[in-house]
Amino acid sequence: MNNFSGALRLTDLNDFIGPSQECIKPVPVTKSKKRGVVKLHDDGALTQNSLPLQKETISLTDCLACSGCVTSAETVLIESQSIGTLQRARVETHKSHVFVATLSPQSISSIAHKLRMGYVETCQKLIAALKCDGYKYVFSSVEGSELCHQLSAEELLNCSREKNLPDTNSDKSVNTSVKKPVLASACPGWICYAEKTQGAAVLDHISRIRSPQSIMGALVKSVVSQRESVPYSQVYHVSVMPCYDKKLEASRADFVSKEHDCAETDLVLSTAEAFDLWGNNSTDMMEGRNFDSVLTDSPFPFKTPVGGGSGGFAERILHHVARSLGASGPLEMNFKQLRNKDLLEAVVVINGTEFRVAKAYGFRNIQNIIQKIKHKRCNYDYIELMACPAGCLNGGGQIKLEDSGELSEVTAVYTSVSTDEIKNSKPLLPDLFLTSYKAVEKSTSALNTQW
Amino acid sequence: MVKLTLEATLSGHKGQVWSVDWSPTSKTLASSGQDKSIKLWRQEGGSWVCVTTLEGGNTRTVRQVAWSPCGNKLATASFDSTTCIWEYDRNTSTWDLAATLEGHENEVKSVAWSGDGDYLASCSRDKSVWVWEVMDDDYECASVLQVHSQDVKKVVWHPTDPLLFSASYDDTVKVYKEFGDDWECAESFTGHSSTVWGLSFNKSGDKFVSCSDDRTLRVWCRDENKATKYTCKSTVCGFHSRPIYDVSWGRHGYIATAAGDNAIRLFEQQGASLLLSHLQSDAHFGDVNCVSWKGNLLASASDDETVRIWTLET
Repeated sequence: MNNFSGALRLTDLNDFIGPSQECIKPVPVTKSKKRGVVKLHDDGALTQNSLPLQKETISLTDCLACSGCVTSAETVLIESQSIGTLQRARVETHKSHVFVATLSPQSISSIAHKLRMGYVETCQKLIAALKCDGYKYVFSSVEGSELCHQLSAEELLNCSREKNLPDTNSDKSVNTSVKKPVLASACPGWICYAEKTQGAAVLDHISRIRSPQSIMGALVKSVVSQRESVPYSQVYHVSVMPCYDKKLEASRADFVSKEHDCAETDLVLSTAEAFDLWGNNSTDMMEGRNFDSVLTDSPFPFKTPVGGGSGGFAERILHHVARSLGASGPLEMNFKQLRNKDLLEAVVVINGTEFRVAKAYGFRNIQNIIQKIKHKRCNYDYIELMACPAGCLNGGGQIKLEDSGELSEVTAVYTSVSTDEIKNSKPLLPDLFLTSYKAVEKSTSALNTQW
Repeated sequence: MVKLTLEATLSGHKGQVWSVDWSPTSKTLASSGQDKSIKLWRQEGGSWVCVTTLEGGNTRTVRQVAWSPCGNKLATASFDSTTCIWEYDRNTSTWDLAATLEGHENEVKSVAWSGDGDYLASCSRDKSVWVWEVMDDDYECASVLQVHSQDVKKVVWHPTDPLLFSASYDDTVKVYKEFGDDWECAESFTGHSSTVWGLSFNKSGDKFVSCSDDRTLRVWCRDENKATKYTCKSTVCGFHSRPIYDVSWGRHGYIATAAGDNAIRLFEQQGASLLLSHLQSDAHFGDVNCVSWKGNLLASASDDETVRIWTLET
């Protein structure tokens, strides 16, 4: 299974694991207070006081918190985030649970290209297919992106204070301890790589604002449970993403609701998986289909943010920074290519203050940025950093393209509906949308050395 | 009658000596090993002496040391997962640690400069091959190639063309070429039935010989119509009873092998195959890990903690 991003695959050291070696991660076992005798039966089953013993399993969350091996995480991942699991959940819980889905604009663009349809038409087709399949609400992750951009702009402004910016009227509650240059947090391949291989020197630079997917995660279940008058835990949230690594992100402990002891996003499907499920459904009754909105009662528009297929973080964040600083009119950002086509920078002056931003995609550019940060030679304010070469439209979960030229066609679908004016109401509790990163301690063993 | 005469046994390293490499511009030999140091050896007053020991760069075994084509820089591949660059300062006549290249997940196994000195390649147990662009004193990652399915043991540049070759525990050799502003794998060469430890080109680069844990050498010849395509023309077996850890194809045409049976063997080309011209049994008191030619001088590095210098006589 090679669908993960290169950054993630590099940390996947399966030569550590010989065929006879197995996962050594200790798991907490709930022991019964009563003493008892464990019996081994003829069929190999174990019982304690005539009750079958619970078999302990390693969850994906366990795997993510362990640096012993990433390989087995893949197996666990296939188990816990697959079409099969979704279908089982549908069969078992469709009566008790409200099923909802969030679709990413990259996935929609990929499916639109595959079906030779326009962006809007594809949205309507997918929404129709999902609603027909029993999904009560279908959201666009662009709604989460927009919140992410607004909050990231506040975060960036608050750590730009050394620039002696005038105090703005913006809500200063988004005051994280992030350091400049601020690095985008939306790419889970990059986050996983940074946590497994980099220390605080790099982690301190990653934006504390959640990714669009997990911002949606923070909102969807509470909103739907209120609207539908069902318990939080009876909302089943499926997210469709261009990237396999997003399955890992959804499994992070930070994105499990402590209050309800339940994942905010239950299952992530890659674009290709979603296409298999819903791409070929008949297209009846597409008219009048709209995205639902988590924050309002009106439909969410069929739009993508300006700034390219990776979510437009650099452009949109600077756009919000400009608004906060009172600049009016459209923000002119001219990105110029540096050493390769996946490394771009722009310098903008907003009311006399200079902001330097970059877009860096692919593992080699991540490496060069990391080295520059470590040697304190990186003077950007914000970097839109993504693990996949060419960015998120080229994510590992997208529908496979025949040749690389087709990527520009997918990009054209995405940008055909790009806008820099997506209206969102301001979130009331910004803290809900923050997260944190922890370095994963390396386990090293002399036994593993190979010449 | 082809033979090797022992010129000198160089002691000084503590623990296994993993690598030797001759300076392209002078008769200076660099060696590296388990003791984390790099030693430079030169002939002074008739005897070979250690003129410099470079320490404090890498914190674990230095698996390979490689001279830059200009002869003023050394790159070291280390198990501490970094590659260090040492630069010679003419004013102070000292070697300074100029850069530490980070990025590999774990043990770096091999490092190599391209013929023009514009690129540096490194490979690691993390299965990746990295191409670094050399820009004055700066080293920027130009590509991360994750094509091998196992530990990558050796990287070697083509002697004349901008092509990079890698040998791996996955039993294959792969070749990479520039593709737009990135690099891509152009071909994969299969045939060996175990780890490919190394490979070495002849002078013109139309042939290379690979050595393997499967105790064979394979001779590969370039396809006339495709610069990246090489075809195995012969498999040389029956000479080595233990793994072959390194191979060096000298300018004079003699191919030296370093093997796990403490021996050094010399081969010469005969048609598409190789003919054993000399067997130096007990060349060392342990595995021979590396061999390197400079004219008629051959240097060898061994588990017996020594480096030996031999003269080829024909």
